[in-house]
Amino acid sequence: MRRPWHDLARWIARARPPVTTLIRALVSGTLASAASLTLLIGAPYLLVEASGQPGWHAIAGLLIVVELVAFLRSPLRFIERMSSHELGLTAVVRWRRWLTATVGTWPYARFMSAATGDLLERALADTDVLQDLWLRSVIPFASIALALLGGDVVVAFMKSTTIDAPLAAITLFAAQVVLVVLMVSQLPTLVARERLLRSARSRRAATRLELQSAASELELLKLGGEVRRRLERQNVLVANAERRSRRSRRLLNLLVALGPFATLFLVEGYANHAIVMVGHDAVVVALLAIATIELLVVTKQSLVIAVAVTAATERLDALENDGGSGTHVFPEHSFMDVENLTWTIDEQPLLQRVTMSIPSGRRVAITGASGAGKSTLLRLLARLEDVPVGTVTVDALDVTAISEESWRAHVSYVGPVPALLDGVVDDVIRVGRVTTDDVSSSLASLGLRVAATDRFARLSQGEAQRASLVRGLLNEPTIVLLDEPTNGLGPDERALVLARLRSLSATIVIASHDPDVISLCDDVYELANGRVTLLSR
Amino acid sequence: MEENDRVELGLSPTGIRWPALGALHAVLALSAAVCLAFALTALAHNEGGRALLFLLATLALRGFPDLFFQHFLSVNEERVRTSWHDASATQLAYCDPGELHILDASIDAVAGASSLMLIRSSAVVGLVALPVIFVIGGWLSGLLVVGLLSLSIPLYIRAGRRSEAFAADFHRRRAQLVGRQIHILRAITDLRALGAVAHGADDIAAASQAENRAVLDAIRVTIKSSLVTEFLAGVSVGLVAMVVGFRLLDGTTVLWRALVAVLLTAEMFALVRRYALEFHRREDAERAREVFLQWTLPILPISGRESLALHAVTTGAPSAPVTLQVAKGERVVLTGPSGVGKTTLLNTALGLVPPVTGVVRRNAFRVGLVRAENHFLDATLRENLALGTTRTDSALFAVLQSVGLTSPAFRDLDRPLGDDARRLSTGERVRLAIARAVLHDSDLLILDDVAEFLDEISRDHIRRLISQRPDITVVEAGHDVLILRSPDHVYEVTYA
Repeated sequence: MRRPWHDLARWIARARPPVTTLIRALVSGTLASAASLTLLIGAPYLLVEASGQPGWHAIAGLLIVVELVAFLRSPLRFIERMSSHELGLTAVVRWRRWLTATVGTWPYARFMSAATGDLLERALADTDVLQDLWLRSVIPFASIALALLGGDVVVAFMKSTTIDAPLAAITLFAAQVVLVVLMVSQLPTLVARERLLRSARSRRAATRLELQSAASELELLKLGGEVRRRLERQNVLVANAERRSRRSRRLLNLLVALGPFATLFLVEGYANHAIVMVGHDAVVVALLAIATIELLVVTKQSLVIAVAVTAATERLDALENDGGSGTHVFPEHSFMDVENLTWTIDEQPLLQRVTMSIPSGRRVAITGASGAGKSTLLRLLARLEDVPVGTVTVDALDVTAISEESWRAHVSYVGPVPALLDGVVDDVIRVGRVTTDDVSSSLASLGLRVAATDRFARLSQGEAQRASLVRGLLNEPTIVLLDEPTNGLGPDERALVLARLRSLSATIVIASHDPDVISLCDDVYELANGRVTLLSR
Repeated sequence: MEENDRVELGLSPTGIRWPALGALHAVLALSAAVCLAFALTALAHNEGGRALLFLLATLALRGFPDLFFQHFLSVNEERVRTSWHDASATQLAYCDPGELHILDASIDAVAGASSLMLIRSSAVVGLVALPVIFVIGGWLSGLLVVGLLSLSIPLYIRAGRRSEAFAADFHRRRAQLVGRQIHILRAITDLRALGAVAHGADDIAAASQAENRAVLDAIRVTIKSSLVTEFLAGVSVGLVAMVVGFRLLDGTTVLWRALVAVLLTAEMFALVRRYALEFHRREDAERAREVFLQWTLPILPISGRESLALHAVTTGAPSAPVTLQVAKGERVVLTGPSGVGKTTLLNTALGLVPPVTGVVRRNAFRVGLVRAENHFLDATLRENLALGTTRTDSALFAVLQSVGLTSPAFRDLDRPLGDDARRLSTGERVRLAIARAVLHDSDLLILDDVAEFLDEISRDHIRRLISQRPDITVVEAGHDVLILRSPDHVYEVTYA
């Protein structure tokens, strides 16, 4: 059973606002709303007073004050809106940072399914609702609520002969609170309907995408009607869900329409011993009761946005993390042992009970046909995938017991496809790591003549491959795992890379079918049919 | 798509006259303001009963009509969305998957059109309050209101345009930023391997911050613009209050007139403002309709014995202009080096893309398009063949046999093919597509580079099938291996 309030709180926790901006927005918003109320109530009230023709100057003065308030309202709103926008934008930055950090801890398999399933793109698109949450929900609601509270307080302290002011104020306040609570309590129902609507819509989008590929061929066969028929089915389902969602809002709409009535009745009936509250002061109370409409409209708007945010919680669920990593430091001895490692895809075993032993400082090659599982094996060794069956240990310590930070500092993995190579050379190679290595001489040793302050510009495959390798070898890792490092390299370039690898004292595991690379290695394994066999030592 | 197939897409399937509803809305809003004025006057004069009645009337006029307007608007929107989504089934044939969101955006624009019509007529009818203000509030109040309103309207419109321009710019920037972030997220495993995930997160945060600064600057301009309009409305109400206030003090007017003048001014400005800020949306529905229909290309018909004719056609591919005619029942081969654009030429000939230059004429009949990337529905074998028509099992088996699909996998018609029939080999897909085309009596069969995916036995099956149907026009594109052994014509597509 879902808990909508809990879900809403989770979202807000992910996108916390900066406190000073929040206060600025609230204060200016409340003052702006108060100015609006003053204008709405003050102008008629002063006209009522003026008709009684008391002191000329007093009334004239007050009318001018009202005019000034009208002037002030706009700048105050400006500050409120700018602050609200800032809040929304900051929330978005925090959300994106959190998203990246979270996705960065995922095993490769989980990441691939999220990327192909569009999850990441949609999660980034969620920023709209996050911005709305502050801009059109929290701040406007808080502003008008506080301003009305202020109005109630003013009424409470009115010195009146015709009405029981404190009682009127309390009744007003109570009515407002009850109405808001009634509306807000609708959140769970609204969220439930919204979730159904969203799943109907995404099912339709999926159907549409699926139909789209066959649509032109069927259209040419003049059988486009079949596509239409299948889509119609989905459309009907979505329309039904939309209708149900609309119906669930009926109570909200009714409260917005009836709320002010109820308030007025309560105040008129309760607050006075006479049958109806009258007099000049009653004007103020009546207008305040009518102003409650504003509060109810804003509450409804806020609810709609809160519903949108909360209903997207599946995305949050899909993103949130389970489990952490170990706490041990990388051990002193770096011999690696793999035992009974098994990996299945779609119920087909890719790796079957793979067992191998990689002593410290050894150079190991893994060969095999493409698709045999070399990349997956390397990723498992690199701890970029979670080991489902079997163990991978370093110095007899299970790799998952080692802290992520310590692991990454000692174990380097360079994938087959170089990526993220645009930007300033120094930034691209270091990626935020501290190093004593000379970046440009490392690059030069592999034939890339660039200065650390240059920008990498449109690298060829070979250049990208080498830059990626330099990046992976920064800070002399203890264990180096390379996936096809000589792919796309010409003979001269390959020689440079091999020379570099020969100069390393680290343990090296390379997946490759390049004979030069294989001859460089001490142990050569072949991966075929899920099994690993030692070819030579 | 034929002209007479095009569906009439309307904006108001419920038949509601939005302008009339909008006028009603304005009248009710203005009446509510007048009722409130009377209510407050009664309160001031200690007439409790009258006051209560008028207050209740005010609330009734404000609250309940909105309920009905909302209801009608939602129902209409629902129907619009459903009917346009239904109609979009045809657009699917012509647009790319990447363009689907444009389709959605145009449906959204159209769905919002009815509320715009309501707001517009509400604002126009709201101006009826002007003469009333003149009469009741006096000529000075009237002049003030007219003056400030005429000052406000262009400002409102400008504010609306500014926020629209901002919104467009914002979406463009956001798409760029999201693109960059997706780029980093896609390579997150590489960053993880380098222990640099935090660095990536910082990069994204920094880029977002820079983006925020630009956005805030733009927002500042738009907010200022819209606040100027709000300011004018507030000032107008204040000034009118002052004017009638002084007249009250003078004794030259009475309370109810003063209150009516002030409250009507406030209400009228509210109605006009609402429309002016949405003013820029009025073109959206029209544009949406155009966008929606852009993908449907009319086919220029051809008569006589010709079934297909291209005249000096060039496409986006690097082929030289092509001129050819294909008569009914002919067997024609298109050759040319791979990459020259034979497939693009065929797509152009079939009306899936417009030609860059030249004219395409085609007879409006059924076309069976067969290529290696044929697509199927996520349904059973039977459904994929019958495609909504009723066919007997024996008819289906017969056509499967004629293309040589007789293996056990194809004996069970209720076997689901799965998502886009992934489990089938390319050769099987090609033959299934041919079976589909033949079953539905295609007049034109296009074989786009499929011979190499079939073994010789299968090719013979197809050849036999084709020779048994001399009425089908067959156009084959290919180079080395071909199904058509002795075509009537061979056209060579060359580079420009």
